[in-house]
Formats: sequence, C-alpha cells, structure tokens
Amino acid sequence: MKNIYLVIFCLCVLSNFGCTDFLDREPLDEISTNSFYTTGEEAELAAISMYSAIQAIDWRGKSWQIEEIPSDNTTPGGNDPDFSPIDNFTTNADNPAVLIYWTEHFKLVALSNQILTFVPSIDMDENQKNAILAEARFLRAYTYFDLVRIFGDVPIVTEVPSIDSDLNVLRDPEESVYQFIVEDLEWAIDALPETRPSSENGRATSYAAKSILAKVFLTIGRYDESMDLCREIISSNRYQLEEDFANNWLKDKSDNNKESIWQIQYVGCGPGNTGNALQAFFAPWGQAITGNTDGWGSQIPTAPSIDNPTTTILDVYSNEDLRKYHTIMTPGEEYPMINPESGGYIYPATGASRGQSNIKKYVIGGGPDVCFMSTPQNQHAIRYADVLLTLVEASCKRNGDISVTPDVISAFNSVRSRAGLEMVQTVTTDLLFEERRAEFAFENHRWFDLLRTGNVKSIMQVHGKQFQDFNVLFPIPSSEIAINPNLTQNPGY
Amino acid sequence: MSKQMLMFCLFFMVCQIASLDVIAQSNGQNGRINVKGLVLDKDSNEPLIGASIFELGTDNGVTTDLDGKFSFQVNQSSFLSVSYLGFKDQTIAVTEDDMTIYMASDAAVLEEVVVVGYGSQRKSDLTGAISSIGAKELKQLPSTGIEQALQGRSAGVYITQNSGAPGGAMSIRIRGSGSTLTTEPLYVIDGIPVSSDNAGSSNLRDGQGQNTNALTTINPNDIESIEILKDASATAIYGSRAANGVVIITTKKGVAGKTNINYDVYGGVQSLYRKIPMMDLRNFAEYISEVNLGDIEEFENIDLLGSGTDWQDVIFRDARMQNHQLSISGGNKETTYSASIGMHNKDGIVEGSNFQRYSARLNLNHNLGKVRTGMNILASRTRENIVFNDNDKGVIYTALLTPPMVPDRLLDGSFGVAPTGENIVLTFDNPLANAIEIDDVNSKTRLLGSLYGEVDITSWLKYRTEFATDLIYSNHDRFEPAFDRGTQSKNSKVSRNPGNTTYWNNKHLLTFDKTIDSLHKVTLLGGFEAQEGRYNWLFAVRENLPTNNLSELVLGDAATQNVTGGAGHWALLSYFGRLNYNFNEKYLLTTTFRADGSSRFGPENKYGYFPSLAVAWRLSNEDFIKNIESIYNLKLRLGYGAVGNQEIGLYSFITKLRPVDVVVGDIRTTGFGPANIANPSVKWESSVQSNIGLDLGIFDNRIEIVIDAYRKISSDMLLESILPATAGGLTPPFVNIGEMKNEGIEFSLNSQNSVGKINWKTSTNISTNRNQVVNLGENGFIAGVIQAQAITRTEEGLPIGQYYGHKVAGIFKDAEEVAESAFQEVGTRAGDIKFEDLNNDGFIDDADRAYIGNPNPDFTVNMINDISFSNWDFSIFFRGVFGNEVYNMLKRDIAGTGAWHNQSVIVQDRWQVSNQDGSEPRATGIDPNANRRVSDRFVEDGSFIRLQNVSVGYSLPNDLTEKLKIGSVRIYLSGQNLWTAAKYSGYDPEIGSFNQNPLINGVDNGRFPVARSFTFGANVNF
Repeated sequence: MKNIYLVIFCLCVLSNFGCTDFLDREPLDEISTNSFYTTGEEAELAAISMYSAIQAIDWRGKSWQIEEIPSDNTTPGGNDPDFSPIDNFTTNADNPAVLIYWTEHFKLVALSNQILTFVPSIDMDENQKNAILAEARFLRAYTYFDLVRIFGDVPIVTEVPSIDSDLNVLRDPEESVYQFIVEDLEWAIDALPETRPSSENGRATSYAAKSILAKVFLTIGRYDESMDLCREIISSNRYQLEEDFANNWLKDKSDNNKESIWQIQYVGCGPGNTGNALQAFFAPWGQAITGNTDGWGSQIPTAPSIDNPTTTILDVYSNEDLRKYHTIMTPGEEYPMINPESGGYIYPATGASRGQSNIKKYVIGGGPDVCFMSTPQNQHAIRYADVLLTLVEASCKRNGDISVTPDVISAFNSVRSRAGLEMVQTVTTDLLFEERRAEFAFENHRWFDLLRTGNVKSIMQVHGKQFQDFNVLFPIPSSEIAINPNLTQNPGY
Repeated sequence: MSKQMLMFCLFFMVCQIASLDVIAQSNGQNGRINVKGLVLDKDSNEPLIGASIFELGTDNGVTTDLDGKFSFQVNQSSFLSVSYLGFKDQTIAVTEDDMTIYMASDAAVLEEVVVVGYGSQRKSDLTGAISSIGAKELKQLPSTGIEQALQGRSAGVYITQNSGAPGGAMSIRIRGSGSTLTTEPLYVIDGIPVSSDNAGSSNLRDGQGQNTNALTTINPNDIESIEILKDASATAIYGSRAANGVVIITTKKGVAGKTNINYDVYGGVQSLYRKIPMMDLRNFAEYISEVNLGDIEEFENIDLLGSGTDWQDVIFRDARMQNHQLSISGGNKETTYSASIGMHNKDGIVEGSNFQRYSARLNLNHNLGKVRTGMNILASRTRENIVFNDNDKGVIYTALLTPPMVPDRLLDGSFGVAPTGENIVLTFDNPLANAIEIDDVNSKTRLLGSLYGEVDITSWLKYRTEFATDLIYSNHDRFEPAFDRGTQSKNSKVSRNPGNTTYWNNKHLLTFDKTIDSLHKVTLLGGFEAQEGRYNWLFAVRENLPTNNLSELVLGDAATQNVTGGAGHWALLSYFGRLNYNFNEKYLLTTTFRADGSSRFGPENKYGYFPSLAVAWRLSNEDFIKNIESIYNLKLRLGYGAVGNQEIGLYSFITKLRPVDVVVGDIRTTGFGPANIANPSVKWESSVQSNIGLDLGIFDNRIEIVIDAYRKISSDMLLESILPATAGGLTPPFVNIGEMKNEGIEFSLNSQNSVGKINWKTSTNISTNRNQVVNLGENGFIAGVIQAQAITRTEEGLPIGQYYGHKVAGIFKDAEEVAESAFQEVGTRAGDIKFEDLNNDGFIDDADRAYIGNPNPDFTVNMINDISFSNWDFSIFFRGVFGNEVYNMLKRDIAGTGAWHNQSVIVQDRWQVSNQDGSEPRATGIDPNANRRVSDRFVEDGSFIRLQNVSVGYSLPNDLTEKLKIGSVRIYLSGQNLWTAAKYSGYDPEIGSFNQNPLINGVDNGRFPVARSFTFGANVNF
C-alpha cells in the first residue's frame, strides 16, 4: 500500500506529463484575445465598446476645456491653473487638459483599429460585418476630425500595437489626415445602415457619417460636396427640427428626439463613465441644485464685467431670442424644470459665487437618476440644426460670403423662426456665424466655428485676448514628445 | 541627533558589561546509600516537577515531586542520569549530601533546532543567515499582529507600521528593497505559504488610503517560533517566491507530559502620543481676515471669540483594548495536542476605528512508531472598523484642516457644519461625522488547516506528505448614511463587497538522513509541491435608502444599483531538493535547488530554476581553537544563491479584452474592448544574493555575536513599458529589464550579564543597508505618485524612492527681491517662497527640481534588555532609526495658507509686511505662487529613538500559588511607544510605505499615528 503511494509520487515527480495543463491559467474575468473575435455576436460586443471612449468623462465630459474655453463664449469659473491659460492663450505643452484630450482621442483610434484588424477574418454575415467595420471607420474619422482641428498634423495610426511594433509614430501632414478622414467616412456611408432600431440609438448611421463628412468638406473648402451631403440628409426627411428649442434641453424630451442625428448616450447613476458629467461642471457653484456634491460652475458664460463688453455670449441674444432662456441662467430668472418637486430653481439676483450668469444647457437638477457627475441626459453630437446651418455656411462660402439660394434661405429661416426671430431674405457668412453662436453656445462648436471664420485672430483680439497666429493650434503634449522623440512640436510652443 | 546617538551608545555599552559566575559541582563516595536532592531549572531556579532520575544503567529510578525533590536508594559509587523534557540530559556522580541538580534548557545551547524550509535543522548546522524568535520574546509585547512582535528583533529586518490603525498593515523589508512591485516577504505559516495573493485581490476600495493587513488574522499568542530566512542559501528552497526573504511561522504544538492549561489576559488603554499645535479660533480669525475672502461679521471683534473647536481633541480619544486567551496542551507518548481560543478587541485612537479577532487553534499529533500523523487548524474571525486615513480626504487630514469655528456637534447632539454664509465655502464635511457615521467594516473569516502523514521507510529514509488549505471569506461592507446639514447634504449609499479566496497545497517530501563512518552526516531532501489559488469577489452598491437605521442593499433604490464581480486563479508546480553535508562537525555544506513552474510566467518561460550553495566552517571544533577556553562557538558561513519574485500579476503574458460599461440606446450594457499589450516572454524577477557571516560565542556562549555582510543583485526587475498615448492607452506590457542592488552589514550581540542573583540578558542589533537602482531600462526613472502628486522618483544610480522636487531658497522679503529673482509665477509677490533656479535659466519650472531627501535609513539600532530577579522581570526595548528623511505631506496643507483651512501655529510666524523675516510664506488663500508644490520645505529629518516597550512582570510566589491551587501566575504592566526623540513635526516619524508600495516610503499623508499604550495583564498557568 505504502509502496503504491510511493510509486505514484515518484511518477508524478519524474514525469512532467499531464502537469503542464495545471499551469495553464487563462483569465476568468477578462477574455483572452485569442479566444475572442470568432462570431458576429462577439464582433458586436467589441463594436459597442468603442462608444465607451467617447462617453468617458475625460472625453465628452471634459472636451469643453479644449473646444469651448478658448472661444469667446466662455471663461473658467475661477482662476484655474489648467483652463485659465487655455482661455488666455498662454497655455504650454505641459497642460494636463491638453494631454487628456490627446490621450482620450487616441484611445478610440486604438479601439477602432482593433475592430478593423480582427473583425474582417470573422466568419459572419457580410452585411453585419461591413456595418461594424464602417462603424469603426466612422468613429476613427470622427476622432481624427477633432484631432486635426486641434493639433494640426497628427500621426495616422492604423495598427493594433504589440510588444514588437514600433510605436514611435510620425506626424502626418494635415492634408493626409483629411484625406484619411474622407476615405473612412465615404467607406462608412456606403456600409452603414440608414437607421437603427431605438435599442441601437447612438450607434453610427449613414446619415451621421454624411453629416460629419459634410462638416469635413466644409472645413477643407469642398463646399459643393458639403452642400450635396446636407441636401441628401434634408431631402431624406428623416430628421426635423424640434418645434420648441426647449425640447433639446428638457430631460425627458431631449434624448434621441427627431432633431437628433447622433447623440452620445448616457444613463444616470451607472458605474464609471456611463453618465453625463457636464452638469457637474456647468451647474452654478454653491447652489446645491444637483442633490450631489457637484455643480462647480467650472465654465461660465463670458460676461461684460470680465471680458470685452460687446463680444460676450450675453451680447449675442436679442430680447426676443427664445434660446437664451435655455442656454444661460440669468439673475433672478426662474427655472421650474430644475428640481420641479421642490418648486423649481431661481437663479440668485446677484448671480452665483463664480459669476453673474451660468450655463443652463445640460443643467437639469437632481433626482433619483442623477448622481455625482452623472446625469441621464444624452449629449448632442449632431443636431439636425447643425446640418441646416452647414448647408447655409457652405453655400455662403461658395458664393462669396452671401447666399440667396431658396433652400438655403429656408434652412436658415427654419432655425431662426424656431428661435422666435424674424425671417431673412439673404444670408451672409457673418450672419451665419452669429446664428451658429446663438444656436450652439456651449455645445463645443464655437472654437471650431471661429477657426472656420478665417478671422479668429481679430475676433479674439477684439474680445480682449492676446491671440497670436500660432494659437490656432494647441501644443502637442510635452510628455508625449518626451516618450516619442519622433513627434515635433507645433510652432510657438 | 548626534547627542541622542551618543547617549544611546553609552547606554548600550553599559549594558554589555558581563559578569560571569561558575557553577560548582560536588564529589561522591562508596556503598549503598540514600540519595536525595532537588532538580532546578538552571535559568529560572524554579523546581522541575516530574523530572526522571535513574541510577545509570539500571531501571532503578524515581521522578521528582511537586517541589522538584527526590529521594531513593542507589549504589554508592554510581551515577545518576537525570532527564526532563526540553532540557539536556545530565549524568552526575552520586554524593551523600543533598544534591542540587541544575538542568540546562535545551534551547539555550547550540543544540537548538531551527525551522528551515521544508524541515528543521540543528542551529549548529546552519550555513545561511537565519534569525529565530521564540515564544518567550513574542510574549513580551502585547500586540495585535505578528509583525509588531517582530519589530526590532532581528538585524537586517526593517519593519515599519504603515498605519497605527488597529489591524493596520506593516511593511517589512528584509535586507532592503529589491523590486518595484512588492518587497514584502513570503510568509510560511505551519508549512502553508501565504503571500498577498492568498488574501485575494478583492480590495475594491478606491485605491487610496491604507489597505488592511492579511496577517492580523493570526493570533500572535499562538506562535511558538518565527524564523526569518534572510539570505538566498536559506530561502532558495522557496524559489520563485523568496526574493524578498521568507518568514516561517510555527504555531504551538503539544508536549507529552502534564496537561498544561493557560489563561492569558490583558487590557490596556492607548492614547495619542502628541498633538500637532494648530490655531485656535482667535488665531484663525486673525489669519482668515488676512486671507481676505470677504469680511465675516463674527470675526470683527476677535477679542470676543472663544478658542473654538479643537478638532484633534474631537477625533482622537483614549482607546481601550483587551485580549483573552485560553490554551490547553499536553498528551502522552503517542498523542499530543495543543489547543487555544482567543479574543482580541482593540479600539483605535481615532473615533470609530476598531479591530476585533476571535481565534481558535487545534494541533494534534499522533505517533505510531514508524508512522506519524497530525493536523493543525487555525481559524479566525476578524472584524475591522476602518476610518479613512492616509488621504487628504481622510479623517485625520480633514480634522486638522477644519476651522475651529465649525462646531463638532450642535446642542441637540447632531453633527455641526460650517455656519452658512455667502462667503463661507468649506470643502470638507464634518470629520467626526465621517469617522463615526460611515460604517466601513472589513471582516474576514479564515481557516488555515493542514494534515500530514510521515513514514519511516527505513531508519534513514523518511517519506512525508502534507495537504494544506487556506480559506478566506471576506466582506467589505460600507454604509454612508444620508444627511442634511444645511450647507452639506448627501444621499445614503450602501455597498457590499464579499470575496472568497481558496488555496490548497500538496507536498511530498522524501528525506534521507544518515551518518556514515560517524564522520559524514548526510541529509538529502527531495520534494514535490503543487499549489493552486483562486479568488472571486462581488461588489454591489445602491443609494437612497429610506432610513439610516437599516443598511441592507435591498432597501436601496434599484435605479442606482451597480453590481460587478470577478475572479482569478493561479497555480505553481515545484520540484526541489536540498543536500546537507556535515563532515566531522567541522565542515558544513548546504546546497539547494528548486524548479518552479508558474501559471504567471509566459509560455516562453514557464519554468524558473533557483540554485544555491553555502558552506560553513566550525572553527571552534578545530583543535587549534578547541583549546581556547573562552571560545565556545566560532563559525564562518559563506552562501550564494538565486531566488525569484513571481508576484508579477496573474496574466501579464496574455492579450486580453476587458468588459466595459457602455450606453447604447439609452440603456447601459457591456461591451468588450482591448485591455493590454502582452509580453509573452514575461518571467519572474530574479535576485542573486551572496552572504558572508560569522557566529561567535564566548564565555560559555554567554556572549553571542553574529555578523553578516550581504550583497543582493535584483535583476530582470519587471517594469511597465512607457508607451506614447498614440498607442491607445492600453495597459503597457511588463518587461523584465530593471536592476537593483542592496548591500549591507548586520551585527547582533546577545549577552547574559548576570550580576549575582540578577539574571540580565541584553540583545542588540545594528544593521545598515545601501540600496542602489542600477537599471530602469527605457524608463529612466519611475515616479511615486500619491493623489496625483509625484513625490518620489526612483532613478538609476540612486536609492529607491527618493523625494524629488524644488529647493527652497528662502522667502521673498519684498517686491524688489521678486523682481530680481528668477521668474516663478504671474502671481508671485513678496512673502512667497523663493525657489532655487537650479539650471539658471531665469525661470522656475519643472527643470529646476532635484533630489531633496532619502527615505532609506542609514542604519537602525535595536536594543532589548531582559532582567529577572527573584519573582520580578523587567524588559526595556529601545529602537532607533537614523539618517532617513520623511515627506510631511500633511504640512503642505496645514501650513499651506489655504482659504478656510485651519493652519498650524507655525503659520503665525508668516511673512507679513510687518514681519518680513517670518518663517512661513504669506497667507493668500489661493496660493498663486504654488508655495505648496513638492519641495524640500516638507522634507524633514525622520531619525528617531523610541522607547518601544517597557514591561514589568511579577510572578506570584510558589507558596501563594499553592494555596490558590494554581500552577503559576505572572502579572505584568507594559507600556509601548512611551517616549520618542525625533525632530519630526508631525505625529509620528515612523511612517512606513504607502500601501506597501516600494516606491513610496516615509510620506505622511495624514497617516493614522501609532499610539502610546499601557497594558496590564496576567498569565495564569493552572
């Protein structure tokens, strides 16, 4: 008996046979890439993960720090070491907000490249496969469109990184980046579905891709193509303006409404990055309207007391403009839709601690589905109004900064009349940009709009900023250059 | 420091003066006579009850009675053989007079047996560097955990308490740091290897503050001995887990003979050693009006103000502790047993903190001659009430910063908040409320059990197998009640975080043990071991409960629910062997080899091989030294070996996808995205260690000296690659690239300085270690970050974890000086700190940072004096750490001149127009010059000498205990942390590492200070 045991023991000691399996341990709560990307379902699971990058607090929760703060619409709510230099065009390459912007965008590039690398070899329905590949290319293009406008030349990354790959990429010239964006979007438009069931709201559609491409063409001066795309979207009759501008901002009406071509989806009180964090940054400081300890007034509207008294966002709205009430909180104003169960909210007559006005967009108050830095309200990425005004802008730019084309005028007037403003017969580029500023204030459009005016330097100088030519681009983050010496810095930094 | 040092050295020398006395022996005569006498313990002079006395070579014998006396008839010229368990046998010639026979304890001489990896060895046969600590030493310090008891006991083992919280973790460095991942040793408890991974990785706290301590589940009173294996020749048998040293813990076993029942009890009180002097309300009012954030009506007339709330008095308290333990042991020739139950309850000195442990132990051994079997079970239940600390949102940190005008409680007993007002904006909630109201309870139920069987196949060949398991069921429960305190309000939140860890281990050992030709003693061990660990955890949270009285998940709002969970597993398969060869008790050789296959290693490196070789020369057994009477023992040791560290993460060789929360169609769902870039060839961190040592015992071993010198080269250190963000923010691959070096010398001296009837023993150890980072690959340096602040930098050519920041040149006296100096910030004004422009470029920026302090001590000294005199015993324990610096992160805020933060009294000597020579910068509220940036302003001398422990014990006299019909009673009073000489301005210079992170040592971030405590206790033996 004893000897048998001994023999067994010796066998086990002396032979490695059967024991190697014992050491093969695959992760239990993560999936090994080797055993993934085998079915259509898995491809879908990978595809939706891409949206988490945009939904992240560090991306959509903070993109105002780069896309709105430098504009003449807003200013930081206090002397903030990160945003104040951005507001004043004194930022340097160490700015953490710039690094976050850069980093978060390249995360989505990697996620989409993962799809484009592994999904093609999956044995699955070809249409479904192409739609997923198109989704990845759409999101990659959307990401690069941001990057190229903020940083200029950026590296085009198309490979999934491995331990053996050379990760010290070079910056590609702006033109190549735009060409890359256009190729991705054109491919995506062909393969993406026109619509999605409501359970897939927020995922890419061919119309979202067309809208972005129209914007891209507008930015690089291909106005005819831009107008064609806008007209395609308009004539499809899939989207309408909401009758009431308020419907884009009321908690129970704004999500995936008929004006929405593409929205970043959120739910409140979920884990991590599944909630809209903007209320935390925008709600007035010290007013305790969120029911959580957030509401910091980190970004506030420009105001005559601080900035040039004629160029602030407050100067944009005429008295009859219905949009102002839903865009900016002004002293003494009542907001019954914010915390209705406790009788609404009245903005203090003297303003809140950090300014005399605050942003109203995305501020919805508290409630059971509102938690710290997390509201359920979706963020608008592309509103139909944007497509209408893109058509107007392309048309004006195409025709010497003025347009009288009937469908252009009608598009322009539909946005104006909803705002309670009178119709016009002709539209100029200047008028268009003013309209865009009023319509899309605090929706991360203004800085890009300013860049398209071709006039950003004088506009910002009149606004009272020490703006120099090089400030049209942000610095490449210094830590990134330290790691990858192949990257060059933008001039002026 | 130098003066303190001198005092310390003088004291040390006095203690080492030894005086010797010699025991006389008596003669004998002829005929059949009656012999009578007394058998005593040589050390304690206590009578030995039940000692056997035989006439040599006959079965004529008796045992001693209750007084240790004996009497019987023997032949006149015969010899008596006296034996008693645990003592050395003696043969003595018979005398006619009353004989007094002194028995020497077995443990006091060289035949002491030391537990080594997978076996035990005579101490005289050791070739490696091993420190051994027995139950006697462990008993002296009434402590919650094992590590406290180990502190200062062994040269080269540097133990610091990371947190003074009851049940808080310690960090242990055996011979310096040899890794950037973990430097904690492997613990082997009754043959069961225990490291952090057995305890599971389910700690889902926000990654801030201090983690809890897995070893507190073990009751220190259950421990028989602790062996610390320090060099590779001793540890290499543990292969890939031994790079940081091995601590072998052996629990108590039963001894055949009389049944022994023991009751140990102690109770005590702990208090804060010192307060940090902070401003009172009047000082604060004056300060805040200078910060000028608007006028406060209440502060207009400062003379009318009281002193306000002293927040330190509010959150600190005198805390109680108590401990009970009942143990029973005994058995007969065939079966021995030892069992105990214990209860330990300790409040922390911060309100709301508490640690409780219930423990039970059973050890059974059965001996059937050639076959032996036994089992061992340690079961415990611990419950730790955590108070958030070591964080700037922690209770201690916020209590210091909360202004004195905030009441701790209102008249109705509810928690106070800052007075409401337009201009008053407080960042913190009431710290007392956070300490008391938030339930943050970590409880663990642990079962460590093992079974063994042993067979003597022949007289020289033995087979042994062991099955062992370690099961941990833990729950981390947290409840934050809802409150509405005017300016502050919050919803309630409950979270539950259960986790299970299961571990098993199976060993097969074959031992060959034979002495050939009475000159060659050979012991050969061959073994095989398989082990597997698994863990799983759940985390669930809900908010908005309808009441604060109940705190179960189901009551929360389902809409706020979040649930997640995970699991993991690992395995290790090992083959090992050891050869001990002893030639004529003069030359010793030990060689070991281990092959470890680990599930953590990449497919290209599945197995690691770890050899070692050591030799020793017992010079005292050579004729030329044998004749020198004063030399009792002299041994030279030389060892060399390679060991590894496999704590490299479970699956870093696999490319993985991780689940991500994502919202699609306004519904939350889960997608899968890439997680990391893998390194398929990842392997263990390797450490090659060499050791040279000398053991010297003189004057009958009354003076024992051990000197060791070592060098440890850690290579293949695992470092995370630095990737550009353009690689997509994936977790970078770990690559085996780094190299680090530790060199040091250890010296320990034990002496028995008996003076007359006073038995006086002194143990002193001094150790010094020099650490140097040799290579960090492409990383160049690694930053140690706490709360987004890079405080330390680990860089090639320097010791690990250096503080890195700006150097203060002074305080700007006036605007002129600001204008003349290098540009700092737009807002820099007179009264701000002037930083040194190290690169002389006219700008103060990151390029002007430098190394500003070293957290590693130059040397450490420990001295323990044990004195016994008749029924009294005393113990005094001094501990000194010299030459290290600490980073006082707390000071960054308590002297940070923040708006609405209370300030240290040193801020009263701030720069003002009227006080241009102030020692602290001007009060600004918003700190436009970043005076709070990482700089040598916050680096302080961390050296200290501490009176770690003083205890006085009294054993009741025998006649009294006899009357009471109990065996023996010892009562004692013990004081810990009684006195500290240190320059440090914070609570406590002994700071330890941040979450056992090797890169961050000595950074005080509002750490829970170690308390001063007094305990009163009794050991009763029935």
